[in-house]
Order: sequence, then C-alpha cells, then structure tokens
Amino acid sequence: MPRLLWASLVLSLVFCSAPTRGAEQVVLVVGEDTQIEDISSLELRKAFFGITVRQNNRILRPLRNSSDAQLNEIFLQSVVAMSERSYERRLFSLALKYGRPRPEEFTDHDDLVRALHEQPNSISYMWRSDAERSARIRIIKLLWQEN
Amino acid sequence: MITAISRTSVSMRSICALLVRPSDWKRPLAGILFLLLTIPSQAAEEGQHEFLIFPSVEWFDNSALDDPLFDSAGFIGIADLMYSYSGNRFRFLAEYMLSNEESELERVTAGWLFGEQTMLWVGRFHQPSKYWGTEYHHGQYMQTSISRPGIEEWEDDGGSIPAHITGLLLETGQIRKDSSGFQFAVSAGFAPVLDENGLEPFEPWAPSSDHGLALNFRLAFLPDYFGNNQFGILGGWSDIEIIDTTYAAQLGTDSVEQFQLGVYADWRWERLRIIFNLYYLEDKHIRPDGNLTDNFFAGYLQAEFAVGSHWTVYGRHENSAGGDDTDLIRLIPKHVSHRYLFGVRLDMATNYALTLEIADTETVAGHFDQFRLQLSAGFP
Repeated sequence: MPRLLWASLVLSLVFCSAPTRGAEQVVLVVGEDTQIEDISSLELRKAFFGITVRQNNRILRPLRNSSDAQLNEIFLQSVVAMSERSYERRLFSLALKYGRPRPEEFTDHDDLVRALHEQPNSISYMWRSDAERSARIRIIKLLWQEN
Repeated sequence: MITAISRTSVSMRSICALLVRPSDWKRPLAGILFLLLTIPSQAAEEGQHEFLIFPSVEWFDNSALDDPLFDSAGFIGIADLMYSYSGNRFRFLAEYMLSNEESELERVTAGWLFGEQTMLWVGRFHQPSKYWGTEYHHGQYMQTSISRPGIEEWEDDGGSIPAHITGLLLETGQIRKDSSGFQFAVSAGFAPVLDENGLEPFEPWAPSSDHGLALNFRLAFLPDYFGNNQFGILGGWSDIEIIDTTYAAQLGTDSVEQFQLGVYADWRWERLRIIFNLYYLEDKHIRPDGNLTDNFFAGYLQAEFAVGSHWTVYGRHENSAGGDDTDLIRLIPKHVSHRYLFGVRLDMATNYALTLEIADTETVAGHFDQFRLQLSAGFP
C-alpha cells in the first residue's frame, strides 16, 4: 500500500510539473511526403523495438521524441508498455544479439521535425498542439488522450 | 565514377592481399573491411549503424588451487566491441573482444532479411543451442553474474559444447495477435576440433579441412514477444574431430559425435528471476572395433532477486552429473562439474555495474574456491 501511495505521488509530480496543455493528445506523425496512411498498435510496438516493419516496401524508421519527460512517460506506457529502464535494456540487448538498430533519439523538437521530413518512412510521436504548429509533418493517428 | 571504381578496386586488391597472406593478425580486420565493401550501395541509402562497447575490469582469486592451467590470482581487463550495419534487407554484424589475455573476432556475419522476421546469416556466429551465449554473447555487463555456467562456457574457457560455428544461421520469429510469439533458430556449419587445449573452433581466416559438421537449433516461446520471459527446447549434433594424436590414442578414435538435447527457461516474477537449463548429452566415439557411447546430464539453476532498484542478489548451482567420468570430458580440464556460487550486483548510474561473486567450484582438474570482483559497463 505505501508503495502505491509513493507511485501515485511520483506520477502526480511528473504530470503536474509539466506545462499545462489543457486536454492534451499525443499523436503519431510522419513527414509530409511519406506515403503512410495507418499503422497498427502492434506494428508500432514492433518498430520501436527494432523489428522490421515495412510500409510501401520500405522499412519504417522509428524516431524517439525525448524532448519532454511527460511525453516520454506516455510513450513508454502507451506504445512500448515497459518502464524506461526495461525498454532501454531491451533495446541494448536486441542490438547486441541481432544487430538491430535502436531508434534514433531527439531532444529538440525542430531537429525531430527536420528528420521526419528528410528521412523517408520515419515515424515519431508528439503533442497534437506541437504537431499542428509544425510545417512539413502529417498526423497519422491518435496515440493517447488525456481523460 | 571511374575514379570511384578504381579506388574501390585498389582497396579490394589490398584487402584480398591481406586475406591470402598466411598467419597475419590483420586478417580478421581485413575480413570486416571486405564485408563492409560488399554492402550493396542501394542499401547504403537507408543504412543504420550501431556500435556498442562493453568494457569490464575484474580482480579474481582462486584459492587452494595448484594447477598451472588456472592463475591463482589476477586481473582481467576486457573490451567487447560490437558493430552492426542494417540496410533495407542486408545486415552486417561483427563482435571483437580485446583483453589483456587474448583478442579475437568472436562473430562476423552478413545476413539477408526475408520478409519481416526471417534472417539468413552467413559467417561466424554463436550457435543457437547455447542459451547464455546467444543471450549475452561477450557483453559482460548484460549478464547478472560475473561467471557463466560451465556448460555455457566458450571453448577456450573449458566449454564442452561447441559455441562458435562458421556456416549458415537461420533466425525467424512469429508474433501472434496477443503479442506472444515463437522464435526459431537453426544453424549448420563447421564444428570445433579437439586439440591439446580443448575444443578449438573453426577460424574462417585460418581454414583447415579437419573440421566436421555441426547442426544446432533452438525453439522458444515468449508470452510477450517484446519481453524477456521465455522457455523452449534446444539441441544439436556435432562431429568433433580429435586432431591431437595423444588424445586420439587415448580415446581410440579420431572422431566423436556429440549429441545434445535440452530444455531451458528464463522467467521473471516481479523481483525474482530464474534461469534454468538442463541438457542430455551423448558422446559417441567412432571406433573401428565398435562404437562407444558416453552419456550424462548437465544443467544449472540461477536465481536472482532484485532488492530495491539498484541491488540484485543471486545464486547458482551447476551440476554435470557423470560428465567427468566420460572420456571426452576428462580431456577438458577446465570443464566445471559442480559449482555453487553466490553474488551481489550493484547497478550504478545508467550503464555501470559492480559485482562481487564467490564460488565453490569443482573442475576436471581440481577443486577450488573463487572470489571475483568486477566493474562492468555498456555504452553508449
């Protein structure tokens, strides 16, 4: 029980310390020229674990958006369903075992948008408000929504 | 364009020259360069590179052991380097281990992806029926314990089952809708030979015709394909040639067929993790006056318990019941027949770990207690 209380406290601190965005949404995005219309949850999870997923005969290239702690937390819960430590370790292990490349990581929003535009078949996630403000990218689907 | 072709030809010529020159330490390096140059230019457009380093430093003390095969105490520094290139369908992977005792190109493979999850590799790899070897390879930081179980050891550390095979490896997987899945791997290639130092793997850069065939497989079920929990079966058959004439005379044969079949599990419940492996092994000595067969069971059980978010305590029991009574194992003095060990690991910062391990070990050569302290890391 005390563990649950601590977990709730930590989660509330993480979520409350982020800038207020109203009823926010996290969306899956691609570059404006990328011919991708839909990606299933399983395909998305596979891609972020370095497993080959093809669309239009090209491999999807996942890009991690680490520009925001709350967004990262939502990605870990909604997309890969793992704690940060377990996910990082799993990626490390898969790279060692099979040579699978780990997703490229971006801490700067503009760099991420540029990469989405320049790298064919790359996918990423961001706040809907950020996606709508950014030129040269396209929203594919909703990944998470604040209740 | 002409300039580019001519540059490539020159470099290919120099690399080919390196490859054919006998006993040259540059051969492994040349092999890597050769494979890199063969990466299709089409794939290079979308290629991704991965480079990992696993350094470790260790101090050990083997008490009450008087055998020249084992150092009584000492220091080991290791850097395991892994590089991979992934194109649209082509993949290249190389793992090189450097230490103050040896340096060796452990894996070097080129692979082609069929569909989304079937990869055919050609080269030198860790064969799939040894779970520990294919899970951690030479990345010391990735395994909780400092030591690996005796039955999972590399050939030059007393391993009695082949680990490094040169040939073909097929890996495939199937993810079901509920995220569970199967993984299957099968390999065929050159088996090690037995010389005066134990098993000796086939070296692609120093080929000889003495090596027999090795066939291995593993089938695993994962309740969550993206997680770590799994169980399965593994097995193999190897034709091990005895090239040491004294050993061949002792065994009355110059060839032993080794068969192994086993079950394994790697499972986590909250803070507890269990790694279990049990093999049935059979060594058939091919003799003109009638074949002789030795068989025995070998296995281990490792339990790990996470204390808080940084500490892990673990213990392991290993037993290869009857293994040291068999003719082939008696020729591998470092082979571990029994071991009890206990250890504590502290995961520091993001990618560092400090581990202390004490073990009570019985090998073919003798019995000793071992103390080990290791700092390991994984980058980037």
